[in-house]
Amino acid sequence: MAIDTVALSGAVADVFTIQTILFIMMGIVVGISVGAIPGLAHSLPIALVLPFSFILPLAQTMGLLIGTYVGGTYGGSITAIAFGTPGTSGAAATVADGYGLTQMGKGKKALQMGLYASVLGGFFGSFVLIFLVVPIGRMAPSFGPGELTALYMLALSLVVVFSAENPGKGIMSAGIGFFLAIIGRDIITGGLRFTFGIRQMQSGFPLVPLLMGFFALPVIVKEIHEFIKDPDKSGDLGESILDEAKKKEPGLTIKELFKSGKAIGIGSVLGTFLGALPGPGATLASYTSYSVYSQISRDKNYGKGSLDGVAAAEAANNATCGATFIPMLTFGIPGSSIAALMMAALVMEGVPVGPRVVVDHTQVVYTLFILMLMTNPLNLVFGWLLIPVFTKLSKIPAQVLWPIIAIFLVIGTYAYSNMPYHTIIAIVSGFIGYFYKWYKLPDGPLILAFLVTPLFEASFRQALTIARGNYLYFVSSPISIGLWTVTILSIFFFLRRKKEIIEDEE
Amino acid sequence: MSSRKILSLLLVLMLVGAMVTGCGGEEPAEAPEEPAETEETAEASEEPAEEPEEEIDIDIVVGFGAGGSNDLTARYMAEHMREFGINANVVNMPGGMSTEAAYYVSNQSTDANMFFWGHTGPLLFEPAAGDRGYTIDDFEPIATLASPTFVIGNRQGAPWETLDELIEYIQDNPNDVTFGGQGEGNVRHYIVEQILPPDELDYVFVGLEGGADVALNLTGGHVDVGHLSLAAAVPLHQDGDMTVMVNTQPLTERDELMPEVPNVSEYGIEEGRERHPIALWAVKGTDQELKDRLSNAIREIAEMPELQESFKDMGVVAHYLDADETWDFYMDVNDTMVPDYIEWVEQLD
Repeated sequence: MAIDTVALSGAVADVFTIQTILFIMMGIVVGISVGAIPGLAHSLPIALVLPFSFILPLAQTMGLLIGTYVGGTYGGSITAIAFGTPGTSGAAATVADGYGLTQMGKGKKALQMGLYASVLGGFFGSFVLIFLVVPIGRMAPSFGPGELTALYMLALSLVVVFSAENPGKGIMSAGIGFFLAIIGRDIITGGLRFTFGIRQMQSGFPLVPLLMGFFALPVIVKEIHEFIKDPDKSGDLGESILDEAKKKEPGLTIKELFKSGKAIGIGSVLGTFLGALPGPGATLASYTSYSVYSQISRDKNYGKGSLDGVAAAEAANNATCGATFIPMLTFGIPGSSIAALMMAALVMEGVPVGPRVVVDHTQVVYTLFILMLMTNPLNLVFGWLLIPVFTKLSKIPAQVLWPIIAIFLVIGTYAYSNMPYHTIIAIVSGFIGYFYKWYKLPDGPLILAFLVTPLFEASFRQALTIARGNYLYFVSSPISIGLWTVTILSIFFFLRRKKEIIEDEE
Repeated sequence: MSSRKILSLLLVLMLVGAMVTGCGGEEPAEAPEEPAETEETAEASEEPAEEPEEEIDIDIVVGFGAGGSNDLTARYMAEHMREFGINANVVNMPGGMSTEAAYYVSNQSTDANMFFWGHTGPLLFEPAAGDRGYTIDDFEPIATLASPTFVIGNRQGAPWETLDELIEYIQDNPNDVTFGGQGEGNVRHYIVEQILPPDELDYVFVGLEGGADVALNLTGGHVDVGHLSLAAAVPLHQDGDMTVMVNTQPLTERDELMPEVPNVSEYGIEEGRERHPIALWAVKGTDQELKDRLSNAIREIAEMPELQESFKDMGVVAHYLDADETWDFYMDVNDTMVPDYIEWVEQLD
């Protein structure tokens, strides 16, 4: 795509105004704040600021929306790291290592790694959007039901990775995820499954309340229980370790950041790739990156409190931000709910979004590109300013902190779609989460199975219909063959590596 | 950092949370206690000195997520309602093909000022197919305003250009054509089968997940023909990635956005028109004067060139039907289409 200098200068003039920059900053602050509130999906504030498109010029509207989106995607990691409670579903993969680090007294390092990985992943996604929007966008329709089946099978194979330490527990965990995923309407035929006659169950088990309840409630109950049991002993998160060291909590060093460079790189690439495809989204991207890197990382604390784990998950979920625009700008097809909101804002601004938007509205496209690039450094600044605050917040006395998080959780899950039913689901998920903690079941298989099952089921059934029952359809394209090969090789690689580890231990 | 600063930050976060919840929530707006005193009647509106109407706050519940045609039409309508002193807050409550939202509104009190923005799908077809916890009798119509246009289009390079040619091709090449629809076993699938009866034509129908999915599969050549919204189809049609063959708009024959595309009724397939224009619905028993005020506002909004232009760009026809016309339209669908649809669903099972 040759650069249209007139359009570019117009876009620069639109974006580099004090009003637009203020709206971007406002969006980032709102996004980080709302993203950090457990249960409040960041699509909610974006939907709430959508009406601004009726009154604001395009650059300001999109600055506000993109700022909210990018800030919200990062903001979800703050509570995931500080309190073990993901602010957004995309930050769920960050909990194990992020909160593990906080409990080790390294919360500040984890928060900084989350921020830097998010910003770097976001930058990567934005650059790919700018320079590769057309080739990647043209690739997206090549992923039909057959190719998507192979892709989701690859994602499901990660369940094996998560189940490594105890296959029995892993399969049980995945089984619960499968079951929860198929509750509700059959995604193809609309028939009802496992609703037990409960009308609200027809809509299925919603993702956000599930994740919020699953991760947050067990932590809240445990902390409150410990406080009630022994008010004097119950301290702040990581406080005892800090006290022992008698020093201020150290921040992330450049060396540590560079050490996690590979995790950030893998997360950025996977996040961008999965973000550009309709369906997977930030949650699956971060889990995929997190589990793929678990096979590469040599950090023994991976899964319990590793900076690599935070980096891989956070880079991936923010890399989806830029990538999610790709199918929208190449075909006018929103690949995610956030992209649909962005597209709606553009339509309300009088910009019809479709394959010709790059040609017919070049200045608008350049404006979006510049806004995407600008939000990342501003996200860095605001995130950097807020990290000391959230580090201190994790030191709030337990008797104040956990009840407040519980209140936010209830408000957030209710506000997610204004349904009391979702708050009940969060509580039920809390029981499931407590059961998992009690029996030390791995949560990765449950989340992956829950996320991928409906996608896999739909693609598989669609592909089989299109193929008139011929299973060879699943290996009829080079993309499918490539994905099946990667799936088989990765399982083989994993099993071999596992065998080597066992032999080393012996 | 001092504990005062921390507490201040917590307060700010709680306020943000409360604001977001409040804005997106369903907090019942206060109903005007005495609307009759300030509300204009039809006769009064003809008088030269009009008193400004008292402002009212209402919630319009949309059963789909923000960004789709259901949501955008509600937002455009809500924006223009402000000119009539009606502060309308659009609340998205996706789930269950819009039945969650309809159920929620049907359980509100009559003075909650909460209204449902929906079409025949959640109000007629869904309750007829099974117990959804409500029926259309729990609601009263206010007015119809928007009728999204859906189309049938084919992939780039398909060896047919019109609906007749497609039918001929299917007859000549049985089991060769793959049709991508928006879900399976639902009213949209039913409409497709009215146009291309499977007992006469041998083709494969695959239920995809929505208009965007249909567009992607058409563009990628994974399906040969697809059923999607006009708004999604137009840019792809203009770029040569697909060709729109026919529209299924129920209220007008041609859509201004693509006037060259014929209506399915022009092929003599009247039952292939998708009869689901979107209307505003109140809980049964809602104050008549409030309903009249909203209906009058919608009638004037429907005439606004700005709204018509916005709707046109989205592939939506702005078409006003008052409460009685809306009810008659829905009852006609209920009497003529729903029994056949139920029979069709049972035959699928």
